[in-house]
Amino acid sequence: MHLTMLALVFWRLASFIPTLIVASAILFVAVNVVPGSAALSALGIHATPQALKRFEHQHGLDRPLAVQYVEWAGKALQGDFGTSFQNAVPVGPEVRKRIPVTLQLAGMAFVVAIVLAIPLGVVAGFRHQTGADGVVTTLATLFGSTPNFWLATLLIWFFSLQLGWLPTGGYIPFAEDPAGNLERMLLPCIALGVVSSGLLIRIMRTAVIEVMSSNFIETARSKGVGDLRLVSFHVLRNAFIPFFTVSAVEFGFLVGSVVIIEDVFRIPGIGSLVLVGIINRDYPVLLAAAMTVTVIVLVVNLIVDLAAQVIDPRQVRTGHGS
Amino acid sequence: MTDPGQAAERLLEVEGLTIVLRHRRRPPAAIARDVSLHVNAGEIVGLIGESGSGKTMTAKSLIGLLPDRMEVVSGGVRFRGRDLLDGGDPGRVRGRDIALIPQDALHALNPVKTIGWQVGEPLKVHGGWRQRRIATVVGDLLERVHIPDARRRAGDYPHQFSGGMQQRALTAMALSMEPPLILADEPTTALDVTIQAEIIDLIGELRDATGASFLFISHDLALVSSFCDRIYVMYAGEIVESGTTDAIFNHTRHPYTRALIGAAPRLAGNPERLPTIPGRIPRPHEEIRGCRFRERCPEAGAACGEAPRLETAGGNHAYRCWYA
Repeated sequence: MHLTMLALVFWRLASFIPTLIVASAILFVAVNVVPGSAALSALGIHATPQALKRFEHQHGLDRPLAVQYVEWAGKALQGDFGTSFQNAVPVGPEVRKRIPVTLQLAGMAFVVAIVLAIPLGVVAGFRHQTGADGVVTTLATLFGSTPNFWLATLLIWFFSLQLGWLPTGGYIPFAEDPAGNLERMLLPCIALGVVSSGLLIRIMRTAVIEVMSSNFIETARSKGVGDLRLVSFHVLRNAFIPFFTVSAVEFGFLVGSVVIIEDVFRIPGIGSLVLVGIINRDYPVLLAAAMTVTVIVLVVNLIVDLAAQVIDPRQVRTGHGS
Repeated sequence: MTDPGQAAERLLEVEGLTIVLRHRRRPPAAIARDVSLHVNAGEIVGLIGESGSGKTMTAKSLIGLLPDRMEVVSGGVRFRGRDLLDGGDPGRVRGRDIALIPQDALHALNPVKTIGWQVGEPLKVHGGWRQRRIATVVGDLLERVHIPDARRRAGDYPHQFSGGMQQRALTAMALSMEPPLILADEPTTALDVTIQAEIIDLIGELRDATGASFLFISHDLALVSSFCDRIYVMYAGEIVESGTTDAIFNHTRHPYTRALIGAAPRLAGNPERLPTIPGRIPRPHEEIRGCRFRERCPEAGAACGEAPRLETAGGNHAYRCWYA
């Protein structure tokens, strides 16, 4: 079992390489195709044409795109992501500093989404076509179709401005002040998590309905297994298999939403760096931040896949069989 | 084997059981009509009919496992003199007093739990047993159903078992609480013919060893004739003939039973064409006046416009036909 698991991890890690190459190439092209000039953004609208030319030459922007890409990729592989066009600060350390911030935000928001989705999905699926199912399904649609920035604004207005319970935004590292960190992270995590839970609730509900219609559920009932035991021992683990697979995809969307939420709550994470990179046409910053997000999504997908493997014994080969 | 006699203990007694399927737009349709049957202690009783005859639902209603839209509207089920339809929790009876060996062995086990865990679950649910004691009993149970290397294979998952072994495991599971009655719902349909024979042998062997009674549900009259003491033949929700296996086979009264015997494939005769019963079984909501088999019956006559009652032909033998 452990051998096949290791082999799986190895192959999945190996598959990261082509994924990263394609993702970075697409990003590189997209960044350069978007209207706007890096030089103009860095030097301001009053810069002379000569100054703009000089800037572009200095940063190699006047060379063919392919050449720029190969040079960027070569350096990135060695951990050198270049310096910001805006202030000549090295990009690598800046991104690294922000990784834990975004990881905490996305991770906690994902937990919020899952903690909402599992019980609600189970109730709706188990009590399929009842009032409870109707309420949960309506909630899920409502959650899933709410724009997260709108929900974020609403939360700030209510909990921060009206009630004054929580700060409107900002960030304090957890190590410095755990309470301060959590009370600033709470609203953004809810805004992200609730919206993500919309899809996940429905996935969990469908998974539970699917499992409940399986023959082995009737077998369990014929043994005298009651509802509680039925759900906890027979339904949940089977329903988790499709649920986890889809939730990995949903995590990708969630990380995408981080860009806007970090801006709304003024959280200095990767997302706000992406935004800064776009607005300033600061290519090194944008590329480094976006690639970091890609790696985070890939790693989380791998972890979730491994979890699905552990849950489903059919996926893991063992020594004997018939 | 022929007639266990009236002295035997009445284990299960079903009296005038009627099950309906509720429908949003149509009036409720009867799945089983006025079904009466009984199982004595230590007997293997066959309940035979085509798919759609209501045999499986009749069995499921005994342990409260009818699908949502079906319900028992009249009749009684007594198990050892106790009323099973009194609205009490059927969970007490399930697995402990009446166990089920389900249909379709290949999908009847939970794919993410080990065989041993599932076989031992009734002990946990009904007996509150400790894990170690359960493991010992599970090993014994799996040995009893001839799983090779039983103790080690108890740790396997269902996908590591062949179809026949899964059916054996399901049989072991049904035996775990040593229930007096086991409902075997077409336990061999998903299996190869040779494996079928093994399962049938196993059930006979277990009856002899444990004294448990079996209600064996099947569409295959020839198959059950080899080991059932008595047989009930069901058609379109009704019992059309019942009696000892000998009476059903050698003194057949009902044309449907005769057709079923004729429909069994044999090696002798014309191998080009398998005998079938013409027509199809009526659906539950179809209104039928008179005998429900009339349209497919080769012997139907003028009297069949009126529904026949169950007549007794002496002993346990009864049939529902005007012309028998």
